[in-house]
Amino acid sequence: MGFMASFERVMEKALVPVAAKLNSQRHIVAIRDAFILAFPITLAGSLIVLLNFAVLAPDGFIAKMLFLNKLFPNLADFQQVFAPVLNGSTSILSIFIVFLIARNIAIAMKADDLLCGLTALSTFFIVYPAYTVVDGANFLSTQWVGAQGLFVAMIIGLLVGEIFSRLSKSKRLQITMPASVPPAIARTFKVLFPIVIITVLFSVGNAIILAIYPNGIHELIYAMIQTPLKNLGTNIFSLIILAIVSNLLWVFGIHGPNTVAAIREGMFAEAGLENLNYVAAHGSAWGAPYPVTWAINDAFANYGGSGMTLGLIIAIFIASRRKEYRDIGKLSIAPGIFNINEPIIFGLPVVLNPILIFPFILVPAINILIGYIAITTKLIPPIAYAVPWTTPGPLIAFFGTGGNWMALVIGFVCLAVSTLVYLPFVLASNKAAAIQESTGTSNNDLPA
Amino acid sequence: MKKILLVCAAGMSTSLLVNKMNDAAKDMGIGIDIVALPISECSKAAEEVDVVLLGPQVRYQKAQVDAIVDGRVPVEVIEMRAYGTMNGSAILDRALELIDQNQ
Repeated sequence: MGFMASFERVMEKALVPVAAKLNSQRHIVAIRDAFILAFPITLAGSLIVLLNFAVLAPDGFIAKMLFLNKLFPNLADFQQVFAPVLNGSTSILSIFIVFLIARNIAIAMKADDLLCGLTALSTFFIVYPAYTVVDGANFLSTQWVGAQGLFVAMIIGLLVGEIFSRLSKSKRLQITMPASVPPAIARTFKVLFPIVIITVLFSVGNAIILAIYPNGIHELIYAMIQTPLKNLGTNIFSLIILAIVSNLLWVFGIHGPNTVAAIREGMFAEAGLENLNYVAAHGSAWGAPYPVTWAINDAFANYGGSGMTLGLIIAIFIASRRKEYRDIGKLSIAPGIFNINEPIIFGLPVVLNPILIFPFILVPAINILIGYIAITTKLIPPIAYAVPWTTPGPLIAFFGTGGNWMALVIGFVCLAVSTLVYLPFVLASNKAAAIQESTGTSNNDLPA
Repeated sequence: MKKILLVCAAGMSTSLLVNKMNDAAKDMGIGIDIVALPISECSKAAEEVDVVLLGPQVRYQKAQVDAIVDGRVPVEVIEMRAYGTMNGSAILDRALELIDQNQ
């Protein structure tokens, strides 16, 4: 127990301040919240693409299950209707992100968030590659409004967010209208100078960058930042390490996924989106460009929530005779099916529990490896469809691969493995609690 | 009608707690209005409530919430065990206590 206590102290000193910073630093929070807000649109697009290929296509897994092609022979013709859906979500994700990041920064700094977001949007297109003229008509390239443009969107969102918020606070730059002027007009004039300054600033900056690097800022950022980060992310080691860090944070009562969200999006967002674009174009997840994405964690290592706590709950029901464990188990199973685990994490608790922290971190890592091996040995295709994270675990693997039954099986295998690994730790935990009771000590004094 | 804001990461686990707290309030025979929101969306609601409670897993974002609330009402992190066991009545009692202290 001495080792455990000093390990905890070291972690508290080292990890907790970092986590605190990551959870409250306004730029990181702005990025994280922007992706959270944009996700429903990506999700809707993904589900409709899934619908397109699972229900409307003659060989879709739902169509086959329900014999839809016998009942409605012309369903495939309607696929055209839904084909453009991703044009409104993943293909223009950078547009949503640049607006949302700037708006979030403005909210944090108590500036006009709507106008700040609009200014960032405007700036985004000011520095965008010039129109291509074909037969007298202007065309905008789609290359940098989607997944590939994410980092430029993040940088512009942050810069405009900061500059606008600071400038708009300066009294000298505010044009104050007389009280008789309608509020909407007064509001726009109030920030007119900051907007003009930002426009000029970024136009000049863009010109300078184009002079030094004629391929333009998007190519530059993509080559120097986004691609290395993406390569760093889409390999199995980064995935496991990030999952371990996220779960380690939970052990200290800190919301792990939230804390690592900004880093996680930076490393995995583009890969996930490219996979989604791939299935939209090809109708099948087989051959998707990025086998390793964060989706492996959600599909195989997150049942019940972080730490694969559904395995813990099942292990408790199998092995634990202790009333308080079974009570928490009963309380946690309903939210656990939908991957919400605060009840069991704080109720058992798993937080700062010296016995349970081992399986909590170990089990997801094992499950990620199982999923990874299944994908790289081509047993199942990569996870390409975005699915809500509250979907019951094995179904994420099932729908994420576009209806692959083997993926569902692998999901249940992971659940079984996790239960088996949790079992000895649950037994040990019960024994430890029994010993404490008989010797009259208590381990219930946890830091506030 | 006392108004309470619960804040967590995605609004999921706190919405479970809302039901428990509403049940507890009914048992106590008092009327309360509880809303559960993620941190990223709580700034509007924070202006209209009498107390703000944070889930323990987002206690490191208390500074962010304090800045939004600006001292107008009490902001407190819910005790871990009470949150984990979804102890609606204990948390409700604490919320009402904080509101009274602030009046």
